[in-house]
Amino acid sequence: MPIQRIQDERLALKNLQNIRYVYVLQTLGIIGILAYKFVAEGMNSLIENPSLLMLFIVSTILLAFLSNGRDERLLLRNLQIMRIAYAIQTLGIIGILLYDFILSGMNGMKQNPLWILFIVVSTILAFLSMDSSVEHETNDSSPLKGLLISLLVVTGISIVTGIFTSYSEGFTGVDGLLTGGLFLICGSVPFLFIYNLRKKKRDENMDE
Amino acid sequence: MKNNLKVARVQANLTQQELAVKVGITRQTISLIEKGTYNPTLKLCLTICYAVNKTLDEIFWIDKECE
Repeated sequence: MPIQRIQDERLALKNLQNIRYVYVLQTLGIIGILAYKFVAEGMNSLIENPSLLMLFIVSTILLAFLSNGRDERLLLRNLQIMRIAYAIQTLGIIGILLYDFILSGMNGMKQNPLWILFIVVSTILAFLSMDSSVEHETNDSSPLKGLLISLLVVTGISIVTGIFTSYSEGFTGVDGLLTGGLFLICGSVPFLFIYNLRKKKRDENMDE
Repeated sequence: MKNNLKVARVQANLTQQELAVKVGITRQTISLIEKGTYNPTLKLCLTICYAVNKTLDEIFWIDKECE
């Protein structure tokens, strides 16, 4: 299905609200990392390697432009400001991770706690966006059929991955089983989630 | 916010899905507007009015005491 621009103003607003949630989460994550560094290594470590601190300050400074009040135009403007702050924060995180990747390779990048934060926040945003995507769908095919096809494909990929892993040098059959199992569980979760959303939508349609 | 969208839609002989397609939004949004749970923008109100051949007054006007 081709990607469609969401024209529904309610869904556009919902997406902005979703971005606000993940922005808050990402900011809390950054504060957590900064606090951990401060406690474990002292203030000097933050000053010697100021990229994260600078990113936090730059992306949080925008919040000074938020307005108080219940004016709906200002509420929308606040959400748009938060979207910009989230974009700046995410681009900054990607920049820091890329810098780590160039300097110390993939392993060096993965050691940075920002990597986990980036993955967790992106996953949460993807799950939140699924809700809007499902509402935007016009396809009326059975949710169960979609789920079964998706699970079949994920199972196939998991089996192939498991077999390849167990026959790779330095890995045993147990490793293959574990990798395949993990692929199956992690791959199935989004499809089960989307199945629930589609089922809920279909039930609501029937109620009408 | 209360409104008369459901009556106007039925009079225009449209289902929620058909109206949603005509207006270019999702069926859920039409449903939420009919229930009064979602407040549409003036632009969307006008588009809906054009789609069901009614005026803003007829669908979205409510007396102050009903508000």
